[in-house]
Amino acid sequence: MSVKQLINPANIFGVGLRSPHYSYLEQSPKTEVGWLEIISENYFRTKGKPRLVLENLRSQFPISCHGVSLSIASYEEFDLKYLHDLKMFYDEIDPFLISDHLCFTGKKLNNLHNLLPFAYNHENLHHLKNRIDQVQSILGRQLAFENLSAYFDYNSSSMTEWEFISELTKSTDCHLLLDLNNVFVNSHNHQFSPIDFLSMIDFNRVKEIHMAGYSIRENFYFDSHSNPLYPEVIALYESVLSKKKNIPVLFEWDENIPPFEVLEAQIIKLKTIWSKAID
Amino acid sequence: MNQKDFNDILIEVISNRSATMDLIASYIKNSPHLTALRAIEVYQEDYQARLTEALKNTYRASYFLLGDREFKHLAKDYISSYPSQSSDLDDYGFDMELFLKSHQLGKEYPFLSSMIHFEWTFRNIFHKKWDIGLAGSEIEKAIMDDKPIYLVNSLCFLQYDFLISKLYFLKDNNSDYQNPIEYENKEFIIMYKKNEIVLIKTFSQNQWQFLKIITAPTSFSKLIQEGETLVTKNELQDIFHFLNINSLLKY
Repeated sequence: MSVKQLINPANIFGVGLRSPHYSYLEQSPKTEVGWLEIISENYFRTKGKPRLVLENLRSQFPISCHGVSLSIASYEEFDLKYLHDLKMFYDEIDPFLISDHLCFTGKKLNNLHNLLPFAYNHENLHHLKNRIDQVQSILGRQLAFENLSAYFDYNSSSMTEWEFISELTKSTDCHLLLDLNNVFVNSHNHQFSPIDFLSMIDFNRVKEIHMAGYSIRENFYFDSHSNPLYPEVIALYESVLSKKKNIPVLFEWDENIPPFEVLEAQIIKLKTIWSKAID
Repeated sequence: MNQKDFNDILIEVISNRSATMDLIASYIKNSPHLTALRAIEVYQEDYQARLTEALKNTYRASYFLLGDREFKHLAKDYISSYPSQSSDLDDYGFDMELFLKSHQLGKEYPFLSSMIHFEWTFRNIFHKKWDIGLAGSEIEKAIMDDKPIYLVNSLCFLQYDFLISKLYFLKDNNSDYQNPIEYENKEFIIMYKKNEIVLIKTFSQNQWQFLKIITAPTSFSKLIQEGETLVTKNELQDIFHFLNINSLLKY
């Protein structure tokens, strides 16, 4: 069992660990990357190579565990076996942060593996408060929840996404994983100002930032994690830096995953922006 | 409609493309870039793509052998019959072998069901903890002392009516695919792990049956007695050499 690694304040930039990079990282290369985020569900039940690779890497890098199947906004009971296995995994890996998404993903017997939005209203605020309290109690840890890229909003939404998130994080003592790419994608698709979104966020609650490159489909933006960072998303990060500078930042790439060096180039770009901001 | 009921219908609409799409759309805001109906389609497309990709990742050789169009056709039919019931997308595809029994492609390509079984087993061994056997000198001592020896558990026995390993490796070697290949022959395989890599070795039916004896702890003298009609002395030496260099034995 290796010792838990903590984020180096001088290198707050990480990338999502993906299997095509295993062999590169196993050679312990000198890297600009300061920490790694894993998808919890890809590791928590396997006893094979992915788990071994993770065990080796966690002695070199701080690890953040990001889930995709908690389905916090579902109206079904929690899958207690899933939560039990997650808890065991977190206890073993001891990540510096655990997180999932503000969404529902389907039902236990029909998991769509899609991150689906819900209406931003008081009914769901109350429901999510209870669910978050329950899951944080079962896991014995605080969670961070990621704002979603959603391709529709509900007629029954009575508040904005940022008002909902602000209320929710205040009332549940959970953290926020702020995905700037999602904010930008949503702002384009649903026609709002991303700056309005960021102005409502309590940055003391933000424990991790996600950044990625979206793709353009027809005339809407799709959160595909398939491109380098767009200038508009970098501009949002600069706006965040004017409020708080030490939040760990993750760059993610999930479609047609390029060599690790391509991800590192994005990290170097972000580091340069960050360095200027802290001078 | 409350959120709970809406969720149930939306899940059905996305996974089954049912006719209630208009009902769901009436609860959704149209935006300048995405109409309500188009937004639902985006989720439907994403759902299909995600599950198809998961099947492609698990069944790489089947994908190669069927080609993109036929594999996607198979995946589409499978997805509409078998929703995912796991939190891990990597678990998706467990029922494919069963599904093929009644699918046209299963009848058209008789080897396909065996290939699916092979690839799902490969996936299982990949995720299994590597059970490392003892070093050769320790095994030699156990044999000398006639202690019960047995095979590690990150290993499995497979038998097919087709040369599945030959078909499986075609995906890595395009050139062989240009020529017709003979694959209608029985095959006896051991799939095992070494240094976290999943490997396979083919055996004759007798050698394979001999090896099966050691799935339960068996002393060397009893093994020789039970296996004398199955393998020759030379074959026995070869088998033990294979087991030793791959650390597949315990006692």
